[in-house]
Amino acid sequence: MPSRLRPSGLAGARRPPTLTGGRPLPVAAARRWLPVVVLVVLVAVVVAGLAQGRPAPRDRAEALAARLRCPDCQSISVAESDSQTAQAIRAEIGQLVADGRSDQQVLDHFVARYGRWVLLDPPPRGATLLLWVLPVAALAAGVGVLVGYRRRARSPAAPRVDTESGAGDQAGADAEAEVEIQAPTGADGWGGPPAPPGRSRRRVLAGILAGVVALAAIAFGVTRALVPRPAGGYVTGIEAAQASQASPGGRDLSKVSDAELEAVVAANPEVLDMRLALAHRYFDRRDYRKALEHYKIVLDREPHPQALAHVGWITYVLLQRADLAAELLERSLERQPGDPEALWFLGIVQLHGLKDARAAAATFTRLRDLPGLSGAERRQVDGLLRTARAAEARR
Amino acid sequence: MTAVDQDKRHTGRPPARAPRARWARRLAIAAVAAVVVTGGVLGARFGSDPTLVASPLLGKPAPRATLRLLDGRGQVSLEALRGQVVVVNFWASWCAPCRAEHPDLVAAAAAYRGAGVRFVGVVYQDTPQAARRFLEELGRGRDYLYVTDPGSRAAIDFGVFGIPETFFIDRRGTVVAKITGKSSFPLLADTLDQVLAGRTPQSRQTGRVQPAPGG
Repeated sequence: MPSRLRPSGLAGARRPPTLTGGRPLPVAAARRWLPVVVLVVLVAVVVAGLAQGRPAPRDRAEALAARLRCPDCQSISVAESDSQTAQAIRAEIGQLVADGRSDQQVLDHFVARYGRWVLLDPPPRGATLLLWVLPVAALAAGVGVLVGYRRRARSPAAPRVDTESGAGDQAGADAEAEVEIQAPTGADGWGGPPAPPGRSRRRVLAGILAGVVALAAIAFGVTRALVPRPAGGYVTGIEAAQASQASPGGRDLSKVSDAELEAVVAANPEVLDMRLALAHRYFDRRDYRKALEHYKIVLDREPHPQALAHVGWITYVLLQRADLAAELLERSLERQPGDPEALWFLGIVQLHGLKDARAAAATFTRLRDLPGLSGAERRQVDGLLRTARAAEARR
Repeated sequence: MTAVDQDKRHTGRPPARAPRARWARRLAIAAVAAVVVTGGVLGARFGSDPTLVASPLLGKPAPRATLRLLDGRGQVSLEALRGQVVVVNFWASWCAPCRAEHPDLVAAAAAYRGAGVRFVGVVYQDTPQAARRFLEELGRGRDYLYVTDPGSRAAIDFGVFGIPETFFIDRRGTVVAKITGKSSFPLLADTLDQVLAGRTPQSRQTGRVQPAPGG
């Protein structure tokens, strides 16, 4: 399309005429080509370096080792590490390859043990897609910046074109056209004069505004997508230990009123964690009758150790039935041997209810030997133990 | 040079390509900004530990392993322990958190011995001599099985990153929980209570694990 190339020729001609009557001096031509040559040489060096720096793996096992991350190193592959784990993994890869497993089977073997983390090249899907898209986006951005830069550099000189379109400049202009064609982004670079300044101000403002909004959206989205790991918390969440920290719904139970909790429990009679939480609340407030109501329903479904322990204590306090209380507490301790609360209750029941100071002393000794008691608790248990021993001695 | 081209130059109207170039530039700026922002957000996480990963073993059958006892002769097969709740703890004498958690492991093993829980301590990348010295210094748990893992085969099958790491296997031989980092008695007791009650506990992170020396 020769007619398309013309404007570029003209664009080149807007430079001051050279002394040689339009033909560029060799020095000028060299200066013009120098960046291109430097760029080509640099790219060649990088490509050559990459090609040489990574020797081809000797066999499949080594190629696979290079695709797996060493579990106890910092960001290097199993092939590059000499840690014992890496050596063991290499041995296992060799074994698997010798067994005739495919590459994918070998990789899956380790993913099943270490998770997708073990793959050095993250698969281009899900959250890791970002890792593949970002470099491309960065490259596009770089190209875009170049285009914009070129355009701006050219624009102010453009109007001069009209007066300089003499036939004598044609040779030089053609030489320039060649440069233009070789430049990767040449097609977009041939700008005419810039848009009239009066019209663009508002558009520039709108553009900036849109950019800011887009950036904020991206920042917000990315921040939401990344969930910070709780300090000292857990990675995979399943029901159990959350019960002690937060309600099943993830809401802080301490901020829910009794009435609300009653309503929720009434609506979900089978959700025992919730019922237990409510019962504990009544228990802690010494509202034993209400607590007992809910503990009974829990115990009808499952011999929950804490419910057993609390019902045992209520039995002792409310009904003064020390024998039954001790039995319930023993059953609780069968299910949860190291529960300090149940041991505490049992010791008290044995000491004051059953008047069995010896059994009480044994229970308090068990309680005192538990790790995890606070200093104050330990001192209290020591006091109880002394009382029990004194009672034992008196008899 | 066509007449139309000339005309455009004279009147100063922008040729058709100009807006595209402008858009390219804006796009470029937006892309650069997006890259910078994303980099910043990701970079802000540099303080967190990327080695903390959930174990893919949870809910899966426990790896088969037959391991030689550290003391005396004989072997322990994890499959043969099926029917009991098994706690598999990877440790070594060179690991500081292992030293700290040792009394708690022994106490938990003693407390849950009657409930049908078996503790297996797997020596991870350590010499038997050093491991024995460690146990002689800190004490052995009663009925606590201390075994060796030459070649780290079991450690790889369990996907061990560093130690201490503690796995819980239920009576049917399924891995139901994992503690990464130092365990404690309450943590072990809580997890075991859940496992014994037939419920599924969860994986816990208590801190960093110590990778092997010279890794």
